[in-house]
Amino acid sequence: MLLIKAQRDRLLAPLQSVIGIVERRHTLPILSNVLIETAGDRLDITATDLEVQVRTWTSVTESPMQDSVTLSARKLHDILRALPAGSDLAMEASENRLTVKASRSRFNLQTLPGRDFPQIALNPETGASFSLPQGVLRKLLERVQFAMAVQDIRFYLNGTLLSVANSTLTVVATDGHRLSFTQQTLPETTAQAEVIIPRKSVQELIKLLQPVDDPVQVTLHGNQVRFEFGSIDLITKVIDGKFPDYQRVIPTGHAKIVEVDRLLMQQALQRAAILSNEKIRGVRLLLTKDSLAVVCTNNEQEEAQEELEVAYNQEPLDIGFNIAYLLDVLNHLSSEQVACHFGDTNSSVLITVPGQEDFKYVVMPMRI
Amino acid sequence: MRAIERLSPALIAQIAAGEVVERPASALKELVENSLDAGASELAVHLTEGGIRLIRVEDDGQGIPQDQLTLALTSHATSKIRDLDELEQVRSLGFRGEALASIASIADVRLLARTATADQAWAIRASGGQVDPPEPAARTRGCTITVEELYAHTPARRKFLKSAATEFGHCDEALRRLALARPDVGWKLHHNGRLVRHWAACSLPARISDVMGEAFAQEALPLEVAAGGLVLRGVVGRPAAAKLGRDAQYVYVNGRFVRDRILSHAIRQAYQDVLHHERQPVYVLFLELDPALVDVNVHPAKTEVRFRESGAVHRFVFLAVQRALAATSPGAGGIGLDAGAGSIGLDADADADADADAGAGAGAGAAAGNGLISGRPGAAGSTGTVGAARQPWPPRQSAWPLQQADTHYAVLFGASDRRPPESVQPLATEGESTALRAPAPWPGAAPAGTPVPAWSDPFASAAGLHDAGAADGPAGQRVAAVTDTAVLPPLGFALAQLHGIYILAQAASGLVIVDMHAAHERVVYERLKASFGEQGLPSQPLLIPRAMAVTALEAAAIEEFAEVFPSLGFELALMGPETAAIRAVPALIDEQASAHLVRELLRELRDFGASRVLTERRDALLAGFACHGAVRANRSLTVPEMNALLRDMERIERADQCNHGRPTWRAVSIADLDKLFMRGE
Repeated sequence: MLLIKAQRDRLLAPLQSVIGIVERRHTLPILSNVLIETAGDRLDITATDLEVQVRTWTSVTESPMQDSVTLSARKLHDILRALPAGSDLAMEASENRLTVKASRSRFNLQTLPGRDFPQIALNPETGASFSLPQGVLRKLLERVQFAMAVQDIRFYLNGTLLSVANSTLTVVATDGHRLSFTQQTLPETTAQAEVIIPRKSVQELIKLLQPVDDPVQVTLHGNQVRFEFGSIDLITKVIDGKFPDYQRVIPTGHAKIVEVDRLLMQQALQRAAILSNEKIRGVRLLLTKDSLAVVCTNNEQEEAQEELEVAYNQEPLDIGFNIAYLLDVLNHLSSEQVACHFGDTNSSVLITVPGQEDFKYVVMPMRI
Repeated sequence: MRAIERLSPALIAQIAAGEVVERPASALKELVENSLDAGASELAVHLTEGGIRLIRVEDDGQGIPQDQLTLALTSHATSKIRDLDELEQVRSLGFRGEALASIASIADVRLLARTATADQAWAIRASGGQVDPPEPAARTRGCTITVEELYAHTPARRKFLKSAATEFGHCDEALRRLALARPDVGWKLHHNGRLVRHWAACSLPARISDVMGEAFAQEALPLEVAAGGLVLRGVVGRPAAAKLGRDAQYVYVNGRFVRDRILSHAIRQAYQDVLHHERQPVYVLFLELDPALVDVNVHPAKTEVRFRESGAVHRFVFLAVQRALAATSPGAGGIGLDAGAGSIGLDADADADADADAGAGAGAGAAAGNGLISGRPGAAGSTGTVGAARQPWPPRQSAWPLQQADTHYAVLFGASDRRPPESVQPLATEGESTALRAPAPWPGAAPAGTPVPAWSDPFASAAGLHDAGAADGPAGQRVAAVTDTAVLPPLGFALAQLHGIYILAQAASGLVIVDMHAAHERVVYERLKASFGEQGLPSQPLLIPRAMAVTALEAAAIEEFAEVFPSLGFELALMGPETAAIRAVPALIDEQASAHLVRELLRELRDFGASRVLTERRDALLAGFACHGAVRANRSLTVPEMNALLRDMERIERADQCNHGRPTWRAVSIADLDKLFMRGE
């Protein structure tokens, strides 16, 4: 019984946008499947891991009846990708089987009933809602996501905070060692709200959001957030917890301010890192008059030293860091210059982009 | 309701006896300790039916005067201490004045004694708490005490006794413990009239060998360290000699056998990364310190002690034992191959068969006995045909025969193209001289201070053997050269690699087989540990402190050891009675685990006054890195690479075990090989 006829490319693109959230290993077999729903010439594809669900649609040449079926996301994806571009294919469904036919190839796959697919039911309660260009949201998330914690027992750190108040959107992530903060003015005012988006959803959003001005509509539904953009409808559960008070952590009034060329600093650190202890990754920054020296030593007592010319005329400073924390921020910024605000040897350091108030990065030094 | 009444003295004594005289072995221990305290130099013990029927201890000590005999059997009567000051300084094994009275209250006791100055001996008899007056008897100087029908007056207790054989085992063990501590005393043990143990007075090493067996003594590392008023001497068993049970662990504090948590923990930690986790180390250790610094009056049987400065004792014992164990490498002073990591017996050939079978299918080629080098290509030749016939399941990728052909070629014509360039020169002149180049000093020997032996060039020897086997040349000269054993380093020189897993090397005693991965893992691990040193790790302060719930005891420890944490890279602060904040963690340590680690740290600091939790955690991480950094099985090594590994093993500490406690090398002596081939039979 014919389920759909379509061009391979029409199916591959939407499948690629949902497959990112399909986990490879499961105790629940249906979660490694995608849900395919047909109606007229429209085909909906849905994938979920019970935390986040991505749904997208595409138009097909023909789908004679309304039906739904689930089948292995990865296998279907690999088959479609391996078929020649532009080939026409047909999918035929029977009891618990689905056959993909394309020219002389045929693939007989197992299916599970579509009604068993655990779709996330959208919470009827609606909260704050706002929209902004896709490219802007993507840039905001990219600027902070690297600071998220990975599987910390403080579960509220394993995600990114989205906070709206008046017409400002604040995005913050921290793993307890460093914190990344960025802000954006929204076109309209909205109700005040704070949610923590799980790590995986943030990374999926960055992949799916395009660097374009088309809008993304963000709506809070109680313990869920919905992102609608293009043909994609992404619903994610939020992390139920209290995000740390990031305002208290961001230092103010650090007087030793050094502006450096971002790329020069990045390259200097990358070179010096070669001789840093590969397990501890410590680096020392030595500030003296008009000079910033980057020094790495390892267990074999080898030493790398890089010197950058900066404008600095305050008292000298010797401060250590985990080099990865510095490289992270430099890699994720795009400005020409960055400004480092130092306190004393033991206090946190603020890194900003000169002339922009909307980005702040705080990192704790390391006592080497 | 019953009225409150005073218990009769006899019942009081019987209750007390329950604690002290748990079984015949504990009565025996008390009696022998009395003899030792009386200055005995020869002891004879007679037991009947495991001591249940009769225990008799004869000594040649100072004896007991006639007028004190009755007093000796009275409770709380002793000659060993007089006041509290003496209790704190006590050096005798006993001091409570309870043992004899307790025993007399539950058994029939006959005490026969004569002092050096007395004209004759006197005997006294006590039964069920009733003491008869002394009567004259015959004996030389010393004391004989006979305990008959132990528990005759407490039948309930008697039911709890095990069989005579079990009780004898306990008595024997009690005596071993005492005998180990006093090598200067001669011991005899008779059971049911037969002499079963006879240990003449001797030195401590000899006594350990007598009591623990020669095998133990050979596998043991002697130890004697003194520092700051503490002295630790004795022997610790090599990790390879570790057992599954704790039965060969003897610790003495000031000559008294104890079971102490602090000491056993310190020793166990010293074995940290050289012992398989299911195994128990073996040791006989004597700790001596000022009696005022240790409280022995903790437990009636005195097997528990308390140290005034437990942290210092823990550190001292840990370091002393760790240092002794660090010497377990093939090159370390005095440890030759004979006493080395053990040799393989005749069952080796069964393994070899199985290996060859698994390696190359079945068939005629798998005549594994044919020799290490020629056996393999032969077997490989059959893979194509026989392998197909057998169809192993699961289906297996068959091998591309080219590499084996290559090996075959190398065997037949010499692997000269693979040999490193420096071996070319000796090869050209081989047979004339094998020691062309200046012999390199053996680094492992340097710390031991022994003169450095010179040895022949490794590649020349290896090449000589190789060619002699294959080409049937004028081999005599070369074989003589390579068997010139006086010049070989402990692990010898590599001959070949076996199945990509083992290195075969020729050493003075015969064949050395090295597990390549395990050995390299240990080498890398020791190198990493040395490079990180013993100093603390850099500290990473946290932007957002980590809160942890603590118990009252943990909170107290946080305050008490406040100055310790910064040196370990931690910064802790109490936020309330049950909450602490971790403000900084050591870099390299996974921050996720920090709360758990802090808890462990606090527990060890509290219990032992010192903690190596952090060093251990770091070492565990380093061990993981080492495992990844070490060469894996099936990586083919050239002869110079293999020799470099052997030399590294001789140089580093603890080279006999990999990080998980498995052995890194084994030796098969020429004698064992001769047995395999029935040579000289």
